[in-house]
Amino acid sequence: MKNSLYKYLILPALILLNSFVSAQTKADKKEQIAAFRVAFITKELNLNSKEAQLFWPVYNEYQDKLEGLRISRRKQNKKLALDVMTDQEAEQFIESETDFRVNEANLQKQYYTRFKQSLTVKKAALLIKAEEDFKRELLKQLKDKN
Amino acid sequence: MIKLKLMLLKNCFNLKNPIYHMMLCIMLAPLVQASSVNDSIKKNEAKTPKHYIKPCLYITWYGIPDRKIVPRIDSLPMNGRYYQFTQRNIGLNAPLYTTTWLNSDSSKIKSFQLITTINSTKERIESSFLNEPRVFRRTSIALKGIYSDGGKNSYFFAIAPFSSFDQYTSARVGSRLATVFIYNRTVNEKFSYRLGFMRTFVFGKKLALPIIGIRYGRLDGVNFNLQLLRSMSLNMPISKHFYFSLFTKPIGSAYSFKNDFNTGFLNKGTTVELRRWELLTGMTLTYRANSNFSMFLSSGFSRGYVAFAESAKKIAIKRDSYQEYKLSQGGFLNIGLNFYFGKSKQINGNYSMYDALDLNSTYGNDDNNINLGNTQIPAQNKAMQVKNLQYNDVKDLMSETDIY
Repeated sequence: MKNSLYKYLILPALILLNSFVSAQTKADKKEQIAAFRVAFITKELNLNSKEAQLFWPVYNEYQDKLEGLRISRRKQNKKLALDVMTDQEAEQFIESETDFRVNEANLQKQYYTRFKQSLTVKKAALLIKAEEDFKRELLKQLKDKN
Repeated sequence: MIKLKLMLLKNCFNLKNPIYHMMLCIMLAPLVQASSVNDSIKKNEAKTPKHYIKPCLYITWYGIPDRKIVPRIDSLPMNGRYYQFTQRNIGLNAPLYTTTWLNSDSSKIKSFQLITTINSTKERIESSFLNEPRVFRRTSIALKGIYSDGGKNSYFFAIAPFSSFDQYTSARVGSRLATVFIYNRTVNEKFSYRLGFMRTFVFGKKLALPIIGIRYGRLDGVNFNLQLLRSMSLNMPISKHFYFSLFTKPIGSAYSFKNDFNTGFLNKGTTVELRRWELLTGMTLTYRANSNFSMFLSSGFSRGYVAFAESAKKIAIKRDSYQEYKLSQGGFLNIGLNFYFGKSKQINGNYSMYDALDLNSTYGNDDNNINLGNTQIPAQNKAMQVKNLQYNDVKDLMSETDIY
């Protein structure tokens, strides 16, 4: 009994182990992009040690909340079949899309107020540009790859 | 290797072990949370990860082959001169509760994390001073707390009660408590220091010791970490997936059990206190496959002592009333697998949180040779580029104005 139990457990365990090892998950890519973002923004903003210590926890929280909004939006849109939706569903879709954009803008407004506390106003302004440049850099890398 | 894997799995899936059931409950908890995530989507609410630390299931094995032992006092009787030790662990390190709040000017995020480490250890001692190999099972449930003021200061505590079970006599052989309290100051990303104390059994007996620690170098890069009386290590990433460290650290424990020694030194049937400790010096190679899995292989040399007497009191007070054997220097092998589950809050560039993770992985994990490693600390990106970037990875970040 004991031996057969192990037999039945070992195979799934090894398959699980293999999937853990071989999975190049989305989370890893997200982690890579986040690490690149830190390196890019640190360089662009020329953050000193004190600024970095205050800024990154707040900025990470901002990114987590943005990510939460995006995941929520993505999951909602996935369920939606745009070509066969009812008028009510279409109405809901428009509402949720505009809500998403409003929420994103509100979040940006709220957190930039806080960035001004941990950085200088000038550096907070530079952050807007750095974020835009970061996206362009990602696009450039995507283009170069293809 | 296959035999080794089988041994590890045999230990982890022991259905009679209450630890197994507790771990199962904690691991299934995210599934219950997942259903609530789906509900929240309907309400158009964004869900963000709750914790800074991912739940980690770890399985480790430590062993030393046959070692020659030498009695410290030559007159003591002894049959044969060998000693062998193996240790298997399975455990779960999981966050229970995390809360964050802002300071008055909204510039700092203070945080408090409550973490648990549930651990089951099986230790096997085979030696000429025992009639038969002795197997001890130890179970511990540690509670750890980390408070960070969002700036340079963090406070860490751990309370780790554990109870031991002698498989040979099927008797529970006592409960013990290990504790740690540490103040950590992250001066900057390259330097931090720690002050604190611990009540520990790593030197083979209960000791209250101070902790004085310094780290020089980034935790996500090359660093030298000196935690006095606990460990000293030089750590370096050698690629995105591989980390290398050189280290020295003590390991050990104390056991009580019914005597059946064949030395004649102690009366048969009495309760015996056995203590062992080793000083390990070696190197560790850690492979971080991805954010869900890492493994390590550690090897080097160790030396130490094994001692026993009729009671703990005698060991502590009367040096001539116990037997002590010196272990000759020899090799050891330590391997481990870590499985991470779920998502965690982003901590990139948050160096005080890196220190909090380091505290969690180094201290309070059952107090005996368990180090979760620092593979949850994000790797530094020096190349300023992302490999294998795909459209799907960036589509959420883009708007058409980014193109022109």
